[in-house]
Amino acid sequence: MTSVKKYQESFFLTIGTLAVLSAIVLGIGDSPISVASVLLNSAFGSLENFSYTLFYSTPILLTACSVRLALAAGLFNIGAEGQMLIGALASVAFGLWFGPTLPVFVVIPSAIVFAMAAAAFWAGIAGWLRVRHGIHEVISTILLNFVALALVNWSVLEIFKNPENQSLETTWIAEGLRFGPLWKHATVFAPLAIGLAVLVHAVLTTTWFGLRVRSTGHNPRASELAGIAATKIRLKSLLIAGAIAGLAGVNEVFGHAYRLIDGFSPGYGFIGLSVALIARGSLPMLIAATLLFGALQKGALDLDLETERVTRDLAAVIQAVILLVLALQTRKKGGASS
Amino acid sequence: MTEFLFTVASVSTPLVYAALGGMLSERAGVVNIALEGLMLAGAFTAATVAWATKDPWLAFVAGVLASSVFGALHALLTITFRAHAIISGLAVNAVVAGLTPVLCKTLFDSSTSSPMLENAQRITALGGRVSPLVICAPIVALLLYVMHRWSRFGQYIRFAGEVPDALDAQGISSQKVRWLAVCLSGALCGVAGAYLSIDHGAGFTRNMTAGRGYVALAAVIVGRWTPQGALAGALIFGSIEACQILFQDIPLWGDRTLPVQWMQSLPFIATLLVLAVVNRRAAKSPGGLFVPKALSS
Repeated sequence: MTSVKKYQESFFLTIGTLAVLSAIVLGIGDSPISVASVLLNSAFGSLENFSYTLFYSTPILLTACSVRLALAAGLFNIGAEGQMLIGALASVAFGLWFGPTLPVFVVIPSAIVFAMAAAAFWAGIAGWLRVRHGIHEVISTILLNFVALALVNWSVLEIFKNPENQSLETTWIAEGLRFGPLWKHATVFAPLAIGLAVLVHAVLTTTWFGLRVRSTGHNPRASELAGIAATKIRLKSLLIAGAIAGLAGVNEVFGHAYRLIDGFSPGYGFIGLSVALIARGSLPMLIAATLLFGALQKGALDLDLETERVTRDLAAVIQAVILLVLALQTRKKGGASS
Repeated sequence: MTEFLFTVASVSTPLVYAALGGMLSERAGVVNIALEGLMLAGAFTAATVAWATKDPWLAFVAGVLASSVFGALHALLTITFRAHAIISGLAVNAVVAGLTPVLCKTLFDSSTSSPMLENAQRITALGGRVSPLVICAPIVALLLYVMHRWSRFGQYIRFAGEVPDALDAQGISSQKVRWLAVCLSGALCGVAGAYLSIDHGAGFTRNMTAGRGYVALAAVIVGRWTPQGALAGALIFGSIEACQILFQDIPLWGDRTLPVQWMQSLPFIATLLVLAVVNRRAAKSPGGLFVPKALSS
């Protein structure tokens, strides 16, 4: 496909997306223009608002990096959501168990390592099921998401319940362990996430390991023949992907809430999945799509108050329609599906 | 024991329909993880129409049609536009999961649920106990078995999945066969969804399918992509869910019961375990067991 044609296609798809979304908003009985202005203003209208957008973008970028890495190895990590939840649970558990006794400079790094390891373990279950039992990671990671959700709900309710509060949340972690916000509402993990995105991209595109990962993703059988242990590479990629998704949980617990709130995630893992699929291996696209989806997440919060009938749930619709249109661009040659 | 069997039948029913739908679609060569969203679309539409018209059977038809439309969307993306089937499935699921709360809010002024349906708005159980949809589930499975095994269309579906070129060479469009199979898969998911919202349940609640679409997909794999296997797989997972419901507050040690969250995640853990065991045995059997071409990557 020539590049002019490609741009033409992207242009028409963008117009089509906007038309479908406007039709949905009109159908609900609101004006698309007022909805768009609320979204824009709420996401970018002030520095305060923009810092919130960055806050929502951070876990999205982390889970997107996780999905992107696994995708490079040819695996669909639909479990980023569950891995993030396990990371958050491990962070709060470590913080509450060891926070009061050990010095801060020991607790924080070990809590991060512990959370990443726990999330990697969660991803590893799916990896092991794939490698040893041939269960496709799409189905296993989805099922594991449900288990992670139940595990978090139970831990919050039964093990770490905050006795002073009726809502579903754990006790707060010690004050010394809290990473205050970096800039207004953006957490310290915002620049870290960008650094990690760059690192993941660099590793995939410039190192031998990255080459093996991409080769495995492209054609596992040919890679095996070329002497690459494709199975091991896939397992490793999924473990690292899990660890990265776990960082999104660390961000929530140490960087923002300072406790684990049941149901804190609006589906960061799934949003990150869409972002990684949109970016298709391009670093600038990954950052841009993250900001777009983060802005939608923040912008939608004000829809409840500022518009007549549209609610924050519209963000999910917009993200879904974008994913749907993007699916059109994943056209494959040859067979219809796989 | 009868209580247990009744519960198994009623919780297995949506799994049976969805699994049969998933099997049809994947046998025709289109991976279908959209079962979850298709069911949800059917559940929402059926509940809405039942609420508006007070006619449960009209609502049932509407639910089936709505799911078929979303099935057609999956078909359009994957077959006509050759989109990646997993991405398309995720997108269909996301669109339905996103739209239903928004529409709920618009229609019922609540983004979490529709109003409770009265008994007159729901499908009436025969003899006050067994729903006609429950009775139809094994019949539909049998019909599909006969179709799959002996009919021309069943043969076309298998060819569309395994050697589409051979079908095309015969002058039969493999694309059309796939389209039909995926739309039928949507219709069956619509039956499952309508069962959830206007038969088993009384109204729509947000995300009421709660992962059943994915469990149904697992049933398809456990059943090695055959109608009888899908039925058996759905019954296995249905029995596990029934145990979860019935034995939720039976004391295990002293007066302590298993935490409800553990019980709720039991179907998912059990699904993974059953999948692992079945796949392990499949790998050991001579020559391997059947896996549709679309899935053998």
